[in-house]
Amino acid sequence: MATQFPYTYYSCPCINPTDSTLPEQDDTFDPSSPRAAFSLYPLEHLLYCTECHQVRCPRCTAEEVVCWYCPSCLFEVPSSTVRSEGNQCTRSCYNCPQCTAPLAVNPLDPPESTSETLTGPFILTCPYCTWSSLDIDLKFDKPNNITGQLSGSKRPEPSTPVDTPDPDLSRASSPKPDPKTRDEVFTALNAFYKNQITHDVDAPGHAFAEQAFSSPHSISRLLNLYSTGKKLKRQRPKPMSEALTPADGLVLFDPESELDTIKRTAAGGWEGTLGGDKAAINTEARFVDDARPVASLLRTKRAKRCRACRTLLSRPEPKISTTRYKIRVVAGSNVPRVGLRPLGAKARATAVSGLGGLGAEVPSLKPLLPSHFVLTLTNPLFDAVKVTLATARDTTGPVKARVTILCPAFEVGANTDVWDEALARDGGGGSQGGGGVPEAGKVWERGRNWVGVVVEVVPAGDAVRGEVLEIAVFVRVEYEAGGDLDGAGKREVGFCNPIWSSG
Amino acid sequence: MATAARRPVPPKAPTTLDPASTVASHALLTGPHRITVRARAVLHPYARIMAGGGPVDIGEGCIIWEKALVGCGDSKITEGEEEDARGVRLGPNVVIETGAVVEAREVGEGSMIESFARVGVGARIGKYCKILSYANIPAHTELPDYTVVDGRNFRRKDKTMANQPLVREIRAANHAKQVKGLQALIPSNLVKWQ
Repeated sequence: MATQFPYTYYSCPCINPTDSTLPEQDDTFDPSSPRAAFSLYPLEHLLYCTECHQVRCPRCTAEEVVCWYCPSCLFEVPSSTVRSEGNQCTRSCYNCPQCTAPLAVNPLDPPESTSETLTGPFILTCPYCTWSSLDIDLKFDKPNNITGQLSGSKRPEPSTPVDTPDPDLSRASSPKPDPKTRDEVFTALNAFYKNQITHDVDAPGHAFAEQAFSSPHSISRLLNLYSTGKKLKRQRPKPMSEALTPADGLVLFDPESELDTIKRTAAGGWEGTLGGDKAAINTEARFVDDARPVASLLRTKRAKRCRACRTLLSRPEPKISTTRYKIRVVAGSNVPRVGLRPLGAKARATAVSGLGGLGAEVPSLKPLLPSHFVLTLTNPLFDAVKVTLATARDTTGPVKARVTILCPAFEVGANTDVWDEALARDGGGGSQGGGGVPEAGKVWERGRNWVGVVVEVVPAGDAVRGEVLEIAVFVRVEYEAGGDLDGAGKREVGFCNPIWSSG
Repeated sequence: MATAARRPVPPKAPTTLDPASTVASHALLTGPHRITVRARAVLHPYARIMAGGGPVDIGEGCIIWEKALVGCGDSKITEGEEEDARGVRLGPNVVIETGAVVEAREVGEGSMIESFARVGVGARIGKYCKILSYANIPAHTELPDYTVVDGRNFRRKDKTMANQPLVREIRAANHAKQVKGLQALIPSNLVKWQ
């Protein structure tokens, strides 16, 4: 919608920092400044904070997760499970390692078996590329709880041993099995170094001592720092030992495995290796035979809050199967919609809805010749509002033009029942300007909740051909909110309306 | 539809239809060459078989969905080509889905050509291949058995099908079930095309 011409972008107030320590900002909004690109949005992308009475763009809203769910089985996952198990479905949802399509669980019963119940074994198959878990010798006893069965089943021994334990280095007394996979190696290394740090943390002044913030030693050390007493004697930190054995997480380079990899590459050819994108989701696998099914990643439903006052701006229903919102305060129902069309164009209906859509009748501006446009403001509120428009006399940007709003202050009626308008008059679209001549200080046309005023544009003599003219319009809206004093005299800033100029 | 009405009715092809086959009355079998439809083959309504460049042989248990086109429309034979080089031979249990265009010389047993895929003239597709939706197989391509080709021309060998006879059996049983179901659903009108 926003790409239609002429488009209207609404500037979010977050472009002007409210920090009082900064020098007073020039309030003139310059749509051609590079900074403006970050605060101009189509009306549809904006939310509205009813407490701050301000438009809120994606940049000035804070997101929070309402719930986690699996896109495949649409089951909600508690956030505690997400924290413990990671961002993946813990049921039976897996994606194909070859083509990322969701895998289906299929029985491997012989076709002539007549038993009613499926006895299995079961396999995961990809309905798209026909990959199946038989390719990596995986079969399941039950059709449900695949994750449990996968973690229970021992990984197939990789044909390229990652870390063959060197007999000289491996400790005979080591009770732990040597880590095999990347994750296991990481866990072993992590445990090893954490152990080192907790041992060494007793030595004051150790480089890693600061990392154990919560230890009582750290607190006494901090207190010592501020005490005026004797100086702390710095001890030399004990040297930390590196991981020395495969049990500690040391991975030794094995020339045999490299040779084996080369052999497998030669045998399997191009098709036997995983592509870069597939290897990214299967970090340990280099070959197609090693690629394992990937658990479905979870998705979230997110609520949005105003960053300034934490008011909820949008909150989806926590039920997974609905796409509805419990709360959603859109800007379109709180700030007036601004549209622009050439004077005399018959596109009133679309101009009122603010969507433009002139189609073939996009006019081109002639240098030094005044062109007239109708700026339409539609009021979505149920109260009449007083509107004051302002614009810089000369536009910035690639097309220089002198812009005059002929009637900068007027009142727009309330958004009352549509039937009121239909019954009040017989046909037509309110008091139309019709064939008259645009006059300064007079509203061009007026309807139930919309007003059109004429804008005169005189492009400069050296207007660039084929560029778009953007007009920044400052719109101030005043309304009497019943009982709510804060609501009175509110404003929004900087709408941009472009007009095509072909010189 | 005015242009369709003016279009000349294509000539009926000489046919050999197995009495156990299912040919819907709205299927189209045209061309100067012979069209053979073997037992248990199912031709959906609006499936088109064109024997323009050579004979078309539809194997046992094949399923051809609506708007799929099997065979070459024109009879132009380029220099050095055999007389019936543009004929099409579908092996048993081949499935050709909606909108696919198959001009291949040969499609092997159990292969599946998904919707809107195109297989060019003279191509030879092996057994148990799967040509996924919107894939394009250029003319005179030879695909080995158990190849899976997707719309971005990503190819892989279907090892499950190649190494597991049980999976092939299950697949054949399911296909037989599907044919049985379609035979019950589609009224056959062999007389029209004989």
